[in-house]
Amino acid sequence: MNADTPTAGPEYEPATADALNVIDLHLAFGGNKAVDGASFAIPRGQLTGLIGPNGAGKSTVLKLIAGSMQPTSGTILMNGNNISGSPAYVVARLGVIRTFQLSSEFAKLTVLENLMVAVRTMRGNTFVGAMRGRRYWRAAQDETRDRAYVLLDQFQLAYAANQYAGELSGGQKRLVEIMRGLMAQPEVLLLDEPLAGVNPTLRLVIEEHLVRLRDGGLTMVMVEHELPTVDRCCNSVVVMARGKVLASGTMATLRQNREVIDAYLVG
Amino acid sequence: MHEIVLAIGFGIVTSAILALGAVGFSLQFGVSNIFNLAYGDIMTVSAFVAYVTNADAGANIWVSMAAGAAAGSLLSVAINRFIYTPFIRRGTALFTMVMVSLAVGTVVENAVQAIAGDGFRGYRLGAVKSINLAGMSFTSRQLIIVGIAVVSMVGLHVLLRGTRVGKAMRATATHPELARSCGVPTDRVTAIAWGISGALCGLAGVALALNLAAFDFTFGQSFLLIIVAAAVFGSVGQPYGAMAGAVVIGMASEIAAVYVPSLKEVVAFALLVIVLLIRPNGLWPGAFVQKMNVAAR
Amino acid sequence: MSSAYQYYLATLLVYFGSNTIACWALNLQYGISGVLNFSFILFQAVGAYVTAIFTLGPSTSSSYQSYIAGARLPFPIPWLLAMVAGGLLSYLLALFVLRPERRDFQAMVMLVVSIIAADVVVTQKGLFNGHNGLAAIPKPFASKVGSELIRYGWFYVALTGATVVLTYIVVHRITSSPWARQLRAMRDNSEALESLGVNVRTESTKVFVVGGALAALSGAVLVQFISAWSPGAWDTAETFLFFVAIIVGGAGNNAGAVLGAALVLGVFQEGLRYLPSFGYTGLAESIQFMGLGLLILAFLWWKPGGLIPERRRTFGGAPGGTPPPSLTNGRTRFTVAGSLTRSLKRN
Repeated sequence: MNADTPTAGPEYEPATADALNVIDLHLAFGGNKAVDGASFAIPRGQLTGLIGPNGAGKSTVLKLIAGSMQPTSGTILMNGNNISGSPAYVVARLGVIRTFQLSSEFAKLTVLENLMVAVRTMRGNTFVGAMRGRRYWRAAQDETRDRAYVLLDQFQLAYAANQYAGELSGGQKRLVEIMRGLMAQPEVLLLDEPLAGVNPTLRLVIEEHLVRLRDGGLTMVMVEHELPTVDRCCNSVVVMARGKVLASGTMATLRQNREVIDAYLVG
Repeated sequence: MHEIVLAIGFGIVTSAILALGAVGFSLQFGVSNIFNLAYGDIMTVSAFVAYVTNADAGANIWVSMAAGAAAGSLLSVAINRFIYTPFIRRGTALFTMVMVSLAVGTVVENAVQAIAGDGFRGYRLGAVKSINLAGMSFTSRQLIIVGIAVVSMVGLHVLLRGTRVGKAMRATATHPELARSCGVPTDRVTAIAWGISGALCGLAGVALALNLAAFDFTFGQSFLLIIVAAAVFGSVGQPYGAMAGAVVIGMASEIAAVYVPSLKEVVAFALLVIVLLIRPNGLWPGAFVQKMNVAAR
Repeated sequence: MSSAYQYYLATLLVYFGSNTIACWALNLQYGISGVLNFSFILFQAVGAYVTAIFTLGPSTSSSYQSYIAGARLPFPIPWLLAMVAGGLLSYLLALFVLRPERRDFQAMVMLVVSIIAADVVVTQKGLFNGHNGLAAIPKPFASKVGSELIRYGWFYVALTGATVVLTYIVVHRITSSPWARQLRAMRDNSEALESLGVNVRTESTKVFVVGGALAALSGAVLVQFISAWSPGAWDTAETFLFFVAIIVGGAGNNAGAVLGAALVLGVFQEGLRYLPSFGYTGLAESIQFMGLGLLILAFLWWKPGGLIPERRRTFGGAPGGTPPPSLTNGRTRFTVAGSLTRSLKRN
């Protein structure tokens, strides 16, 4: 992928280094063009920031990739396979997991249960599995529980394991959602404004976690408004405005792009 | 053929009553995002209040209707203020609010029964005259009902489109958070909306009671589902949709009754079920029902 | 103990057993999965009707009641058929009705379906004998146990008890399983669950079917004891009584369902029988229902979890969250990189 040259056309050569390719995506409803021919690539193993002014269509694009909404036209490739038009649960099973803009933790489940429920393929997670009794699924559940504790420990939330997720603070809920997504062992993690409304201290903590995950090799896409955050965490950036992609590249390159500066960046 | 024309006449009356009921119901849903399943029982209370002013105090029909509308309005505002809003503020889930409104309805309905008893009542309005218009037969009462419905609909239209209060109501219904941040006093607007829709509910109750020879304490609630059918048909939350839904369902059920009398109610329900399955948002274009798990404030 | 009192007690116990099974079924659908099944009583009715026609014998043999199909099948086949019917009806309902995504819309549709169904059964007399319903339904093992009222009564209580125990095993396995956790997540936020790869439609249909089959079983148990079943036994008010039972007892757990069955359907309904009647007929009943409405409001406000709320589930860790000993393995710190790559890489 040409990380240093800003590109913005609908013609894309999907490279094998790309985890996801969005090609000429359109979403229009009621005369409103939410996404108007967006094309970009998500490089593997990097944290890609999706930035742009309000109403640019960033969250919408994320929802389209995740299958929560269906595009009017366009292609979304994941590892070369076309996933556009697939329902959300199919896309998730292929390895694309998203978090939500509004807190979407399972409020009446404990933090630990929130993480455990993300492991869909665990024994005992089906009716038949349940009917086979505790002896059938106990070991698998214990293993999942242990994995969850490891994750909780890394995010320093082990103390909250048995608290109801609905009782946590906003920032903690965000962390739980991210951890929940990680438990599903995603190939690509889509984060929809994970830091919105989080206090500055917790912000930095979450950023550290994101950088850690990025360095560990996880492919992520993050919709974000605060440029300092993008500077710190994202090694690749896509800029959108009015439903189209303006440019993509590293922050350094984009800073020099006239269009981007005019539309969005302030110095 | 003559029967169909007659049925259309009945349909006009039924649609008028349904319009009053469905528009009120829809307004409440639009502004608070809940199904007020106590609506039918509030209609019953209004009908009984009108009966008291009419039969016991000897007032004429217009005063009684006004009394019924006032009763409906006051009761609705009170229920919203003292029961629904506190539950919503607590973050009660939408599906729990259904149980709350059902419980309220049960209390109201049985309170009416406890106070007024089991029996059937009818308004005292003198001899019933029959008027023939274009092959359809109406009583003077029914013409009054239709007239009131038309006037109410026009009045509501003027209110929603032309006045600031109306615009505030529309804003609160579509986007409560945005409205609040623009300085709209959403709490007061909501109360006004419940007051107006409560009055419509009261009028619907009195109108329905007028149309029947006699009514008892259950008659409002048994009409509720048809009102819900009309409101949902036209996209619940959209008052103009509710008007359209009232006409469709009113006409359809009366005309169906010509062919199969026992299926009158079933037709309305079947229409409701079909709409909810094919287009859960109702048939009004552009309507969008929020998926939120919590009721609006 | 007088014989009349004994028989009354036996009747109460059979009702209690049937209501317990029904409450467990509704708990699966509503308490755990959050589906507002306002057509619930329809499933109990299906179970009762199917059991009736498959014990009464072919419809041609009866001169005074008309119904479809019919055969004279030995116990427990009619009960199994009842469960199949309940499951099938649930499946059909789920196919069409679980489509609107808002729970209160679903509830409206289910309520209407239940009303239409009642209408159809009453008007189409050939189905289940219309308004009069079915009667003279034979009891299982009547010839073996003998028709002496009290002796048979206690036998039936034992039969009911066995059924309740078997149902408990099934229900308990479900509610203590990881699947139940997934269902509870679906109740809390189905969109989020969908984004984790769960096909919410399929899973909610499955639990709906299981609940429907069990509700039908409760109908089967009841109908062969009281030997009659008519539309009066299954009007929509019955659905709400079951909901009240779950809300009062405690939604989301089996013990709460039993308590609700006992309190609301047992104590509340039966207890009012013993209050002195005052005022005109119907006044006592209206006050009873007012009380019920106020009870629901009180519980929804002060104890939305019910008398026995859903208990918090921990998994071998102390409530403070200390990981169980198996994790630390003697080490006091984790190596971040190692465990991170292990948990992130797909196997």
